[in-house]
Amino acid sequence: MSAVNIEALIEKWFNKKISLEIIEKYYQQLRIEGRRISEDIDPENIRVSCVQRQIHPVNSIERYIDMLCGFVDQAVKDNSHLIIFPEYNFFDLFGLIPGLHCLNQILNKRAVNAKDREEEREKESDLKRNNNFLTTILKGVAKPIEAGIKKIFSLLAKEYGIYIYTGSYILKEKEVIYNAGSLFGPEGNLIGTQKKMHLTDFEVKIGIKRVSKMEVHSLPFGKVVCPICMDATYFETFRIAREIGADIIILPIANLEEYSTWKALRGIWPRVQESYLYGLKSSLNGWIAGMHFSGKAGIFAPLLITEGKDGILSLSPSHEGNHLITADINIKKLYEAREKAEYQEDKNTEFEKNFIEKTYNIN
Amino acid sequence: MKAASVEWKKNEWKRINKPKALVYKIKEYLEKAVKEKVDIIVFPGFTGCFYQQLSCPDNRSVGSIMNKADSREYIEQVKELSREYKIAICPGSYWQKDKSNIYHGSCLIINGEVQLKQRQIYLARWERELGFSRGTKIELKEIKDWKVALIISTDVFYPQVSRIAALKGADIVLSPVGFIGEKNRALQISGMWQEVQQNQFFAVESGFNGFLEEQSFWGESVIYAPLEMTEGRDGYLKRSSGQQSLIITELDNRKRRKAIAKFDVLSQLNREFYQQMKMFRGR
Repeated sequence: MSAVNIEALIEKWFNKKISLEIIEKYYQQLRIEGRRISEDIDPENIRVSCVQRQIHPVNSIERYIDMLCGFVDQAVKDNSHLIIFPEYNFFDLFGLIPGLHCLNQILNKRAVNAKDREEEREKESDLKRNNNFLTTILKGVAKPIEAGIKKIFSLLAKEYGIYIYTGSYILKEKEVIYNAGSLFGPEGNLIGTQKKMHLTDFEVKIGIKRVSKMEVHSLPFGKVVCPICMDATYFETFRIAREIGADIIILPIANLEEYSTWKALRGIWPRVQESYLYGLKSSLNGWIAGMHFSGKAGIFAPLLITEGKDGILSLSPSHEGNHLITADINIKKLYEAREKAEYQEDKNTEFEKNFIEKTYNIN
Repeated sequence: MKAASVEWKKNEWKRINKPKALVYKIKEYLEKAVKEKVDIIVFPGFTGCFYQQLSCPDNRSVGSIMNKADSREYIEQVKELSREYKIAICPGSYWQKDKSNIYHGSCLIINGEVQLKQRQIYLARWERELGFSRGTKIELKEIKDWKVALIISTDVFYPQVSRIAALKGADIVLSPVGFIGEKNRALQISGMWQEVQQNQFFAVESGFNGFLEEQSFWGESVIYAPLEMTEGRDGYLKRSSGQQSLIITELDNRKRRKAIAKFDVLSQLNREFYQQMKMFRGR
């Protein structure tokens, strides 16, 4: 069977399993107690929540909705105005593939065993090596999962009266796939969708494409941008975010590596320090098809405006498992910090003139 | 390439009461480094400013010291030492007058010659308040097949400075630093530690723990490398931890290239996207 046929078959199967009718029907059964978010959120007192969660392959879309609902419900109880989900927030839906459960167990077990053997530590997991197969799956699931996720989060945002960032999913446009995430408002309205701009080697191998544009979204309490994971390895992303007026960075991650504090420190935390923005990080962890993801959710701010002078407002206690972390952010305080910054916020127009051409060899 | 970084505690700085005493102390550390077959050594940020302070004992403020800033005498002293000790020396940083402008600068001296000069490109708030001027370019010098750059103090917090050095091919960055305010390890990590991780060069940072009149400084001396090639996977090849006055380590460029192959940050730069950076287009 050709890749195109397999892709079409997968798409058909997922359309059936994640139909919008099933989602709407189940959603009505949930009888969520509606909440209306205040029209004027005080920019000096914005409560935000970041999800850290473990991958749990599901055998129905209803179980997936239950899982998402659990986090949103908790964030609403905590009076949050915004909740953000992690990168690759759809991996659980691979559980809908017939036979995946068994295959997943075998691949994960094999990968766990290999992890401890020095000679195999550097090798890639079975699925990670099989790039074409994974690309076919991702292309097949892309459309139904995108439609399903948008429907679910639109309904949740509206009913709970909260801003929700969906986490990232695979977006297919004219046979090209991207890693993208969407932001929904409390009316259930789609505010915007941002595609990833810097890819990992693995994403390049499986055929994901990057984009070269970042958009800023104006919310009643501040301006946000939504880059994804690897985008935070590059200071340029955050420099551009500042230039287009952002106050808050939403950053979903799912790191395909073993966790270490030092590895984690290469991402959003130093970027927040350089750029004087709030940084909200959501994270996916756990095993799927022999691949191990890790990472802590965290809420970061410039050193100066955190109690411990460490740049951390809230950080998950562990890099595994499910956690919802919450903190209050204050845009006025952020602006004041920019004014008072000792070591940042200087400008050197002479040095910066033609910096792009001088640095990146762009004419 | 064997690199070394110096760190003197506050009480050691306090004991240095004459320019001659400082030169003698530098000589002492050069001897130690040469004994260990070190190729390149970095002295703390502001060491030259401290010399300038000792040379004008009547001045009572940082502002008055910098107004009489003349780095030539200090540089001449180090040049003299470098003729005696076959080692590349970054003498820390100093204030340098050029016409009516005062810069915070540093250099690399080899065999009695200044081989590389660098002015600090961005200013801290306190430096802006004192009316310092800014450098406008960064240049590299090749030594024994290694491309060397100098990134001074405040510039460690401006990633555009490190990025341009990295893309010009810097293998090693020498960084004399000194920070004001409350000692905060997180601040130092947000500087050169993370510049090394996002650009994957080596860096030899030397922190000033002395004082310039009323102003007190702090900073740890550290030699950094990409995480993947450090023993603790933490990006530190060697650090003083406030306990050692001279840290020395071998920098292995082959190992660094292997580490880059595992996680090649610069290979995924999105040059098309960066054209969105208006500030850097000089608009």
